[in-house]
Amino acid sequence: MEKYIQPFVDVCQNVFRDFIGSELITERPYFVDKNDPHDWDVSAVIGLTGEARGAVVISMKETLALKLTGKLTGSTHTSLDDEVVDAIGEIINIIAGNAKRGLEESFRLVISLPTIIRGKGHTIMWPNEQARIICIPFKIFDNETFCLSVAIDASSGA
Amino acid sequence: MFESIKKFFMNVMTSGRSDETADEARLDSIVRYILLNSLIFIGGAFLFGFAFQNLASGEMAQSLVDFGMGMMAVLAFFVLRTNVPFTASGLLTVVPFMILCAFFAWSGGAQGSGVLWSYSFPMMAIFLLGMRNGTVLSLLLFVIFSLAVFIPGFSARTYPLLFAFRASGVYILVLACTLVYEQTKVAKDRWVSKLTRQLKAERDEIAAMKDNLNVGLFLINTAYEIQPQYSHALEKILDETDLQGHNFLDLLANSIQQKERETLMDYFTMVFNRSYDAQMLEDINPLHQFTYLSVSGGEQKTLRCTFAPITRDSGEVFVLGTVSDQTFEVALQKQLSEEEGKRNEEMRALFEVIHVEPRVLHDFIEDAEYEFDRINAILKDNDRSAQSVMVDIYQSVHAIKSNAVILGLDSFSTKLHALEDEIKTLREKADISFEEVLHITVELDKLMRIKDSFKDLIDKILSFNVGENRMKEEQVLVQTLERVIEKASSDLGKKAALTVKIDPLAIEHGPRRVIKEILMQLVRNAVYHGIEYPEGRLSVGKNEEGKIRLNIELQGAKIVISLTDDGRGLDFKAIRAKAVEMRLIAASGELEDKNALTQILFMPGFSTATEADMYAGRGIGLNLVRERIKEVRGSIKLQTEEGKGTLFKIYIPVEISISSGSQTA
Repeated sequence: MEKYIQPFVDVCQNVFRDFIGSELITERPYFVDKNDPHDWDVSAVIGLTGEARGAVVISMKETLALKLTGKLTGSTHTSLDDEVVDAIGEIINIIAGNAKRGLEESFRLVISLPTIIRGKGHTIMWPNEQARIICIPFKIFDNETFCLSVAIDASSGA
Repeated sequence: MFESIKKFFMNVMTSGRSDETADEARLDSIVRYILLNSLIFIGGAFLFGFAFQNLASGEMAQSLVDFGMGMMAVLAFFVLRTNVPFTASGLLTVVPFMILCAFFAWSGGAQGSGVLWSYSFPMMAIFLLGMRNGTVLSLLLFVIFSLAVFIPGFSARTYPLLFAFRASGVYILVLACTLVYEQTKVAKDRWVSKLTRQLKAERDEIAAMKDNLNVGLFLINTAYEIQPQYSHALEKILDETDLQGHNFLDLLANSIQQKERETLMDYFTMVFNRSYDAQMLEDINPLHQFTYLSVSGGEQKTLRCTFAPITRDSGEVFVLGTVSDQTFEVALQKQLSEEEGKRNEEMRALFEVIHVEPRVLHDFIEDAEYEFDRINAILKDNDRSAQSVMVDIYQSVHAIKSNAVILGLDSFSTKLHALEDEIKTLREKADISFEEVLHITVELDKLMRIKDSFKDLIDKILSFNVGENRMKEEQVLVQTLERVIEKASSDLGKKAALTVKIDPLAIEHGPRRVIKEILMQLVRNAVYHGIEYPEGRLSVGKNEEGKIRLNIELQGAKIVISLTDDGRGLDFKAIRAKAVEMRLIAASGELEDKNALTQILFMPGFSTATEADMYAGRGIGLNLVRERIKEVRGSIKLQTEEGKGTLFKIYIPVEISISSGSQTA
C-alpha cells in the first residue's frame, strides 16, 4: 500500500520545493480515527480507483492557506476568499497531476480531479469501511503544518 | 568517368529503363528496348547515309524519302523514351527498316547481296511487334521481295529464276522458324506467368498467415542464425527488429547465463541430430518457459519456446522455432494462486478465531486495541526519536503477539511476528527513513484491519448468541419486573420506576427462574411497603416518583443481586405489633432487637399488610424469598434506614446455579 502513498509524499515535496520554494519536513505518520473531529479549514480530496480504491486528502489551516496564496500570487489575503481557494486548488491540481502521471503509468489506477472543501470543522465522509486513516504530517515555514491523509483499500495483493 | 559513360550508354540503349530493378521478368522487355534502339541507330545511320548519297548524286526524290524514313527512326527514338506504348515506336522503326530492306532487295546491292538484308526482317518484326503485326509486315516484305526477285524489270537487277526460288524459299523458312520460335516462347511465357500468379497467390496467403500469427515463427540454421522468412510477431515478442541473420543465442544474452547458453547449444545439437522424438525434445526443452529481457532493454516477459528439426530438399537441417508470449497467462496464474492462498489463509484464520471462546477473544481484542492506541500515541509524539519509537512499538506488537500465540491465533501471530522482526532490525538502525516508518505504519494498518475483522466476527457471534438466549431473558426479566411495578403502583395510586444494571454474564450463570421469582417478590414488596404515596413523599422532600434500583453482577464465584428502594424503610413498630399479635414474639421481649424483628419478616405467613390481595398480604412474601434462596444455597442480607429506604442483597453461588440445571451456559 505504501507504493500508492509514497508517490503522493514525493510529489508534495517536489511541488512545494518547485512552486513555493520551501522544503517540506515530513514527519512521522500516525493513525486517525476517521470520525475524530479536526480543526482543518481547507481540504482537497483526490479519489483513487482501480487496483486500489480510496482517497487521499490534503488538509490545512487557514493561516497556511493564506501564506501559500501570498507566495503564489503575491497578494495579501485575510480570509479564505475565493482567490485563496483558487490558489490552493491550483497547488493541489499540480500535485494531483504529477501524482497521476507516476501512478497511472505504474499501476492500474485512475486518479480523480481534486475537489476542494472549505469551511471550519468540515467532515469528510471517507469511502472506505475501516475506521482508521493514515495521516502524514508535513511541516512548512517553520511552524505551519498540513496533513496528507490516506485511506486506501488495495483490492489485489499490495 | 567510365562508370558515367557506361551509365549514359545504358540509358540511351534502354531508353532510360536500365535503372529499374533488374528483375528477370523485365529483362525480356529491356532486351527489346536495346534491340529497337540498336535498330534505330543502325537503320537511322543507313537511311541518313543514303539520303546524303542520293542528294549528292542529284536524286532529290529518293533522297527525300530516305531522309523522311531516317527522321521517323529519330522520332521513334524519342517516342520510345515516353510512356507511349512500345508498339508505336516499334512501328516507327520497323516500317522504315522494312522499306530499307525492300529497297535493298529492289536495288540488288553489290552482286545481288541486297536480298540478304531481308532475312533479318521477320525476326526483327515478330520479336519487336509481336506475332500478328510482325507477320503482316514480314509477308508484305515477302511480296515486294518476290516481285523483286521474280519479275524481271521490276527491280534494278535481274535474278536467275532458280536463285529467286531459293531466295524466297529461305525467306519463308526464316519466317516459319521465327513464327514457331515465337509461338513456343509465347506459350512458355503464358505458362510461366500463370505459374507466377499461382505462386504469388500462395505466397500472399502464407505471408498473411505469417504476419497475422501471434506466435513468433522462425527457422535457424546450424549457426543459430535466424532465416529471412520469420513471422511478424517474432519482432514484436522479442522487442527487436531486423532479425534476419541474427544469432538466436545472442538475442537471449540478457535472459540466459553462460551456463544456460551452453545447455541450450547442447539441446540444439540434439534437435539438429534428428534422432530424438518430439516428446522427449519438448520434455528437456530449456526454454519451455523463461524470463526474457530484450538485448536493448525493455520490459521483462515470460516466453515459451518450442523447437523442431526440419530438413530442406537440399539436405540442410534447420530448427523450426516458435515463441509465444506467456506473460499475461503467467501473471494471471500467479494472481489466481495468490488469491487462493489468501482465501485459504482467511479460512484458516476464521477457524482459529471461532475456536476461541468469545469472551476470551473479546478480552484479547480489547487488549490489542489498547496496545494499538498506545502505538498511535507513540507515533504521534514528535518529541521522540524514531529509534525510541521503534523500541516502544516493538514492545506493544510483542505484547499483542504473545496474547495471540496463547489463544492459538496462528496466522495473526505469524503476521505480528513478521512485523516484530522488521521493527527489531529498525530498532538497531541509527538512521530510520520516512519510507521505513511509513512501511511500518502501513503494516500496522493491515494488522489493525485483521483485528477489526476479528471484532466484526466476535460481535456477530455474540449478537447471535445474545439474540437467541440471554438478551431475551434479560429483557424478559426487566420487562416482567417493570410490569409488576406498574401494576402494583397503579393499583395503589403510587408512582415508581425501575432502573437496572445487569451483567449479562451473571444472568447467564444464574438460576434464571429463581432470580426472577425472588425479584418479583421483592419489587412488589418495595412498592407495597417501601415506596410512600406521592403526597407523603413530597411532604418529606422526596421526588414523587419512587426509585427502585436493581443491580445484578458477578463477583468471583457469586452472583450478587442488590435491590434498593428510596422508600420509608422498615416500619419496626408495625412489625413488632404484628409479631406480638401473631404471637411470634413475647410482647415485652426482643422489642428493640432489630435483627430479631428482621428474622420475623422472613417467617412464613408474616405480613404487615392488613388485607390480602393479589400482590401482598398472603404471608408468603419474604418467606418465599427465603425458601428460594435456601434452595440455591444462597443468602440474603437486609439493610434499612428509616425514611431513606431499604436494600436487599442476595448472594447466589455460581456453581450451584449451574448444577441446578436451570440454565445451561
